[in-house]
Amino acid sequence: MSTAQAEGARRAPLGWVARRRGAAARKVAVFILVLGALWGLWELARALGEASGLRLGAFEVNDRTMPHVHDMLRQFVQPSRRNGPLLIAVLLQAAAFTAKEAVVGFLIGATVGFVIGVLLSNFRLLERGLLPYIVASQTVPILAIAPMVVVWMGAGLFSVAVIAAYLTFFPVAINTLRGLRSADPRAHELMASYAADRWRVLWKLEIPASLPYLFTALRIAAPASVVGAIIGELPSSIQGGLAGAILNFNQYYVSNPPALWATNIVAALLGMAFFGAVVLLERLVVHRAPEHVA
Amino acid sequence: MSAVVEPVSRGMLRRAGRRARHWVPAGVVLVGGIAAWQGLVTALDIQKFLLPKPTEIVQALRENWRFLWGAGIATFQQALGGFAIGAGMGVLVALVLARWRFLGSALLPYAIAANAIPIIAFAPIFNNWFGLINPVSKMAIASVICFFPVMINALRGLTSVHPSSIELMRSYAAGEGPSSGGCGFRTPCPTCSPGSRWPRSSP
Amino acid sequence: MSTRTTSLATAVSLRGVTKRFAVRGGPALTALASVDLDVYPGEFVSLIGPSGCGKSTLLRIIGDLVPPTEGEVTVNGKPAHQARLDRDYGVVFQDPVLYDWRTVARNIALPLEMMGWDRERRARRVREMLELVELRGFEHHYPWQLSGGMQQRVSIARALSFSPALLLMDEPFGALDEMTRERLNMELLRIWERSGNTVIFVTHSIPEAVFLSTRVVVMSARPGRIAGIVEVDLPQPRTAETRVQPRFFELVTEVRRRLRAGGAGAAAEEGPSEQDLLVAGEGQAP
Repeated sequence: MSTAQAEGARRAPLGWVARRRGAAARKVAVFILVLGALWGLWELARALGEASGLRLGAFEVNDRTMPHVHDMLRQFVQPSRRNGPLLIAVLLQAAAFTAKEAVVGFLIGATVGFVIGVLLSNFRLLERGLLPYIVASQTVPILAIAPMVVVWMGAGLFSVAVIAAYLTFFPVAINTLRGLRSADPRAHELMASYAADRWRVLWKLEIPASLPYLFTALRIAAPASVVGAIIGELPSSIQGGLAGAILNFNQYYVSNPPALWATNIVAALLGMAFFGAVVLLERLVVHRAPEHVA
Repeated sequence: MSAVVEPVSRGMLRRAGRRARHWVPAGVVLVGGIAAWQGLVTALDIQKFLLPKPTEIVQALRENWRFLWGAGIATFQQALGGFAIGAGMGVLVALVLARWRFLGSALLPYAIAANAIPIIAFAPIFNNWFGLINPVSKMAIASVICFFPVMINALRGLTSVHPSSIELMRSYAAGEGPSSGGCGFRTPCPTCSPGSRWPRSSP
Repeated sequence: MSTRTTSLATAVSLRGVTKRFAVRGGPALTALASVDLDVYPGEFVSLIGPSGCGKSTLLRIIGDLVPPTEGEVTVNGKPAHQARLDRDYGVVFQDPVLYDWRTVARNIALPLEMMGWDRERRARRVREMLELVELRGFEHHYPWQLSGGMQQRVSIARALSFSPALLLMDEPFGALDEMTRERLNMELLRIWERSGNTVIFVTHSIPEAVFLSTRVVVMSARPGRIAGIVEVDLPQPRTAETRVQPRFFELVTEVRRRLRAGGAGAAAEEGPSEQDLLVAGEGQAP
């Protein structure tokens, strides 16, 4: 027995703490290194392009097409227009506005997707009747659907959220369906030996077993909801969000290119923040063998 | 003679029948859905600009056929070009990163995070780069959208080769080249294809 | 043996149990042909036979996890289905089949939750079970933090937690190394002596079957039938000494002889495996 206990102790999570601290330090170092490398790559490409005078059709490397990274960053602390607030304040406000729409859309989409997944996994007939159209729905470009949604529901937060949800529900529905079916057949036999009813099997076995699949989908769906919100703002002519900022700074691109780049940096950060939030939530919720958490 | 042939054809018939039956619910939903749409729009007298009848949509399709066909072909070409460039680059980068594993494992999280960037926000910049009406700017957007999912899934597939099958390749004295061609490349297909299926509809 | 009178006293009674699987594009495959067997309360019965002899299928038929094509299964005087609804079975598979997302304690408590025990009572029983399988101190570990042998002990604790009358074990130690296996054999015997359960134990290790059982049921290759039953008259309780007694070797030889006579040869390895058929679904032959 004592051997088994020692064996267990060795696998106990105690030893991880020290190792994890070292790993965290290395991660930060790699992060800075990667960021620096990307910056260097951009400036190198710029320098090479400018020196060689390379032209690709209409494309030519200069301050307009490829502004310096430091110019983009400096733009954040410049006024957005004459005597206006700083660009960073404007962009953060726009990002918060879009984030609100995206969160609502994400919640609607994830809920609808999950419910669809549960229904389809429980009713084969429903799966065979509806699944082909659920898959087909994703081949219709969202850009074509967005204007119709705005006509039906009127421009506003809710219609934008519905457009975002259209991008979100699909991966969630498909992965929920797959995840619910992923449980070990013998785990089902085990539940049968407890004379478990359908609900118990769903609640105690299938849904917990589906969580890693669900979170894989949510990691795709969360940034997609940001894309959906930006696209949804376009036909609604909503000015307060990131789409408005993009359109606005696109108009002044020739005179001030870094402003549009700065806007895109904020959009990128918002997408990654959504992704990061899901990863964080997953860490809190899913306790799985390391190899299962991909 | 017939005793040999018949069971085969009957089996095939049965299989074909089973497959047809499999699609019956989907067919019912399609026909029923369109009929209900037509019926409801007619019965409730819904205005055309809110929801046109399916027959009206077919009508419009027939009237604008030439224009839509041309536009469709143009979009198709741009999407195809973008997909080819993006997927090609994705696989290429994945191969490079898989060859130098430490690079791959260090960069994969960043690639996944980069996949969260709303690429659509970069459309105006590409328009500025290549010109608004130039198809290249559309292809560029399509290719960037394709790139990340393909690259991430290809890299995952390439690095998920079972260690023992790499050892087997080594024991066949394969150099690094054939090892990534022979066994590394076979496995990513299942993970790669969802990656390349995804972005196709995006542009 | 008169059926009526004995079936009242038996823990498990099988009459003419036959199982056929439908095979795509071929004739139905008979996994079990007309099996009759009586198991009495408190017995430890091993089913042994070559791969594909239907022993796992037979175990699942007893547990009402797979329906028989023909025949009758009576458990504790009632049909197998009723026995399953009454939760008369504890099942242990070759793999522990623990839930990754539950700690050891919550894995053991799973059947108790299904039976609506309150939290207090569950906690008390889980403590007892951890004591029984000697895993105290591991209640808050996750299964993947334990070794294979420890995982299987959790699985046994889970099966015993609600004191089922009948313990069905499908090669529970088949995936473990020899040393762990022998240690767990001893522990299982100790638990069996203490609990007084009836155990039906599938294995393909002859020494294991002889060491553990009161009776060894030897099955023949496909179609599976009972080729013979060996009474194990080794003294109880069994100890490490049991394995070196001359009688132990005689019984092992006897089981081996009956296996040979039952046609346990290479022939049994042909065709789809039993596991394949079971997982492929309830392809019931007409």
